[in-house]
Amino acid sequence: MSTAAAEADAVWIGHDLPLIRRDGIEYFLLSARGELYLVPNRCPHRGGPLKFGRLNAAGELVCPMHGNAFSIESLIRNPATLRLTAAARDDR
Amino acid sequence: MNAVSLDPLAKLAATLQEASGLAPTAAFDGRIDVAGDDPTLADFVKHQALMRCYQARYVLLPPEAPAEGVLAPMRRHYDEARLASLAALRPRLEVELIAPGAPAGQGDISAYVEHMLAEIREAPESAFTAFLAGADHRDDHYRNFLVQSSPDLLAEASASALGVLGEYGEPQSALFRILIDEFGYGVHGKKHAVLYRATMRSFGLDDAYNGYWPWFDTEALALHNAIHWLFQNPRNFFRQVGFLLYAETAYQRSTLAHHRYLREFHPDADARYFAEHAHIDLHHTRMVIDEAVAPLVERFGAEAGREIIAGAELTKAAFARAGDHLLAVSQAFAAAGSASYGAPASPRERLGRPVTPRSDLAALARSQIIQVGALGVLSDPREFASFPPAAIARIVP
Repeated sequence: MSTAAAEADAVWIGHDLPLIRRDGIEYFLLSARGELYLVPNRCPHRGGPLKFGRLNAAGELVCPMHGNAFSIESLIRNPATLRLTAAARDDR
Repeated sequence: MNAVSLDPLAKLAATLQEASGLAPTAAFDGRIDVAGDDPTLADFVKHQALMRCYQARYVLLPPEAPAEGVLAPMRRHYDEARLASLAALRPRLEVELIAPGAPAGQGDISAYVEHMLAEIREAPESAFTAFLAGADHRDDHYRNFLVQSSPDLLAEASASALGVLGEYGEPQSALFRILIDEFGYGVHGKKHAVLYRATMRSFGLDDAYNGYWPWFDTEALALHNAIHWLFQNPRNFFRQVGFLLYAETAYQRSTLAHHRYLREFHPDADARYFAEHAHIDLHHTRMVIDEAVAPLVERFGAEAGREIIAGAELTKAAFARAGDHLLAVSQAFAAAGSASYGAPASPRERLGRPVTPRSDLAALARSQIIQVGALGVLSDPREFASFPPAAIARIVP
């Protein structure tokens, strides 16, 4: 398996999950290399819904509107992307 | 089928005049001209009538309520009997005016696409923008270009919207995404027709849809009608894809040329329409080829490919004819000794009768002058005889 294909295999997109809205921005859920992220859903080109994008052979997320492709790394590096962390909480 | 005679068109003109009322807003102005005793006007009034046939069901609203309210003129404009009479006339006009220019397609679609892309990529600079760069009255020539292009562009993609209705698999979604862009992806200020309107305003022109209908010449109407003909009937579906294939590809180049021209010679003009097309049509070209042409040909074989070629060739010919004509009219006007420049101030009021270069111009009274499109007037109407045959002027009352 190529490195790109292995990377793509390690990526999961919440196509079927509802969007999450926070501070006026819509996010979709992305899992990459064991981490969970909330990534802005709006394509920076023309606002296409990235949540419905597909991963191409290079492991990039392709916007369904005009085919602009974004590396997973660039989506994660986007300052607007949120990394989710789990914190143990004892409610007893 | 016999050619449409001028009598029913004269009756139609009277009906349309009555429905429009005395001083209609542009939205509800459905008038056409009457050829009268000038047989050289026949093609012109037939194309005007065909334009009205195609636009009859477009939803149009005035910017504000007319004095009589909005409902009365709406009911006249969209009167069912009037719409039915236009619909009945349409096929006969199409057989006469459009079908002869729509031959069958030939060849292999893959080779055709490859050749077309190379041809457009290597095409020389637009002859019209090259002419403008050296013209003395480029503002006026550009105004006429904007006016003659406006029959289609001020309601851009309304014709092609008909091609996305129905249910035909994945290519439908690709074509729908193109349509979304034409309509500004839902943002009114980004809608292509709205951007075109802004360009017209920046040249001091009225931006109402069909605000210049009396000044559209025969070739401008013929281009509008050829495009609309393609999308009227799903029988032409593969030809519609061919239209998009050629139009999206060629338009990215021509709009880039116009954008550069405007930036250089009219820096204060609103050029967003051309910048938008020069960008987004790169995407649309790929979308049409990869997401419509390729899967449709894979699914339906070479005969679908030949129909796509037929649509692309019809579009190429219609664009070329309209472009060549516009340039020839501009050149003829620039060469006329009695020409003085200026667009009609009230483009839909006090309309004198139209004339063609083959009309009996010598019979016009010595004091009469004629206005050619949005270019200006000829104080010696006889000079109009050397204009291209499809040019139209109107006697200034």
